[in-house]
Amino acid sequence: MLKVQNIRAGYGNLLVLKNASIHINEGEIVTLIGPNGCGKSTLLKTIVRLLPLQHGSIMFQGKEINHLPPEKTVSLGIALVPEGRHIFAPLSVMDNLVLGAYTCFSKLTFQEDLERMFVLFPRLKERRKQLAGTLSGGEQQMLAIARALMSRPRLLLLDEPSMGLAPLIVENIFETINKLRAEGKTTICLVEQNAEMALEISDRGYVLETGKIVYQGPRENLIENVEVIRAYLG
Amino acid sequence: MIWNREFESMPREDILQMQIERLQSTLNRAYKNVPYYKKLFDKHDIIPEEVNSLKDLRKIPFTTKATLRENYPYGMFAVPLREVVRIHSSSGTTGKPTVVGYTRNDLKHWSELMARVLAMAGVGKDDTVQIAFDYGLFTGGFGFHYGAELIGASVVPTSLAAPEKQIHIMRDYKTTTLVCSPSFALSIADKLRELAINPNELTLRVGIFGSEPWSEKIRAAIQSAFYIEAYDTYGLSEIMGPGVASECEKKNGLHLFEDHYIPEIINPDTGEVLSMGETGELVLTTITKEAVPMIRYRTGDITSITDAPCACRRTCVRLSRINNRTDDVIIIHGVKILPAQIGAVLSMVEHTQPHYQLHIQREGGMDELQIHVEIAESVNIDEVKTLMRIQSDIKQRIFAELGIHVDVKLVEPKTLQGKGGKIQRVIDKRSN
Repeated sequence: MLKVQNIRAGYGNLLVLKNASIHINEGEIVTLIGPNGCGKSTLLKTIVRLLPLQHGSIMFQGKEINHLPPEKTVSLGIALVPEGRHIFAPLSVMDNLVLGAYTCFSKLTFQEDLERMFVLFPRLKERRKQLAGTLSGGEQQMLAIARALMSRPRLLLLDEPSMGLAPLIVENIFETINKLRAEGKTTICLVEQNAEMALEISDRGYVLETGKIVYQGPRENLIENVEVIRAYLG
Repeated sequence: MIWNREFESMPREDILQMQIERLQSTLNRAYKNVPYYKKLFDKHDIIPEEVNSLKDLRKIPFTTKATLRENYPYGMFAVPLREVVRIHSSSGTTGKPTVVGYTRNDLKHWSELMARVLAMAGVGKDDTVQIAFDYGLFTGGFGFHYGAELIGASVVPTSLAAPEKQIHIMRDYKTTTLVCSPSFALSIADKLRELAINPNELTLRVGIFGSEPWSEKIRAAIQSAFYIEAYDTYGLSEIMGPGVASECEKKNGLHLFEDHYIPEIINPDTGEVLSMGETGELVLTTITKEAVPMIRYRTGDITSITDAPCACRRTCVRLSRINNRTDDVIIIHGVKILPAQIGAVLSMVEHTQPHYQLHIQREGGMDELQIHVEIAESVNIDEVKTLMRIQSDIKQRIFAELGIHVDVKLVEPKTLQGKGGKIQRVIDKRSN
């Protein structure tokens, strides 16, 4: 579904991602793990074209998307749930979801999608009229995921969904990710500090270190690999 | 039967994506964890993250057997020893052997690859697999053992038991699959004839043979001796052991497992990379090995590669059967020997001249090495006692150094030289 080859990217003159090649197959959950500043988030942002590509190529469903602007990647079916959520705080939960459907808005599908979100996140239904900024951290994260799902993505990129959340809520979020997989409509790429938990629900993973991929493999191999254990699983 | 359809029948473009991903992380790890590779890359200005394609791999110098010896025993390891769960050593080299290690994941991959090898030859869980490879430092026995267990076959680890015993087990335990070196298969076949056992009394149907080059003629001999289908398999301990490439039921070349290795064919004299279909030396890079990654390892084996689709629907490339080597290595019972190693041993023996010749023949199915050595002029050739002492001295020293039994024939001085005073070092009578 997604094929990334030799991409390099960064901020200004600072090259963060030195070289990464990854692929994601339809229906998979793939996790990127690695220490702070290793380039995980940069990789996600480059995939959705928020960051300029200094080298390499990105193919999504057989099409090169190197030169597309970010909004085009959304309509192609890639959605990013950014680190730190970035919901529209002064707007209601409902309005946030409407904005999520911006690229593919039609009344018919909107209602259908909204129902789906309220099944996945019953809490959002209860709070649909509340201002997003007044939600708890966990609820905001759910809203951020729901907002991304409203664009009907085929590939969902999740950047640190568990950051700053209480353990119980984190579990809740991971359960939801599992449900999404069970639905079979969305392929997921996950960036997580909480490597152990992320690997548990993943099919495969890549380990990044200083902007390079140093290891990859199916979940079982990552759990068994010494470098991964030493560095990230403790 | 295809054991792992996802990987063995993967579209070519997906294989290439996977190879570049795995190659890059292998290079990053090797650079970080193996001082030898760090020094090598730095010296040649190779920055691992600038390797963008399989073509870029060509900038990296080759790794050779000598590299491994210089870094004996653990210099090429990329993980701490406590993560290594198995150590094997390559057979038949004098002085420093080469050591390879495996992590848990490496062993898991090895089992998976060996399961593929067995499934390729049509072996499944209903089969009884008799493994007559040495179980020890040599990788053959253990490799097949794991694969056969993984597919759920019944494994009979006979190791190198004598041919007669192999036959009794084969008959009584109803073995369906024989795994061993082709020369050992031939000696079992000879024993079968000697004991006047009709192959129909056996339940054998498949044989997988490897660890030494063997011809189509030998294949025909084995097939007709046991009434089986005989398949060729290829591997080397430096890369993994068995489980590098193997024949499918089409017997039309050996499928190389490209999700674990990147093959190249080079001109052995210039090092230049040759194109698809050309014959040259096989160079392999491991892309999943954790314990001991090998980057561009020169195998010394002469072959060619084709990516033409195979009727079995596997998509990985195929090697042509290997019948030659780049060096004058001779392989006896899976043990690789350089003639110079024998020369080195002979130089320590008194009353001989540095003139020798190696005769290899297949006697009763077993490979035999006979060394012809010229005795010194000072020795009285009528003194039988002295001659016998020299003979047994040579035999003992060769066994101590190389671990093989040889036959020694002493000849009079100046009888080995051919035209122009040159000695033909190796006379191999096995190839036909």
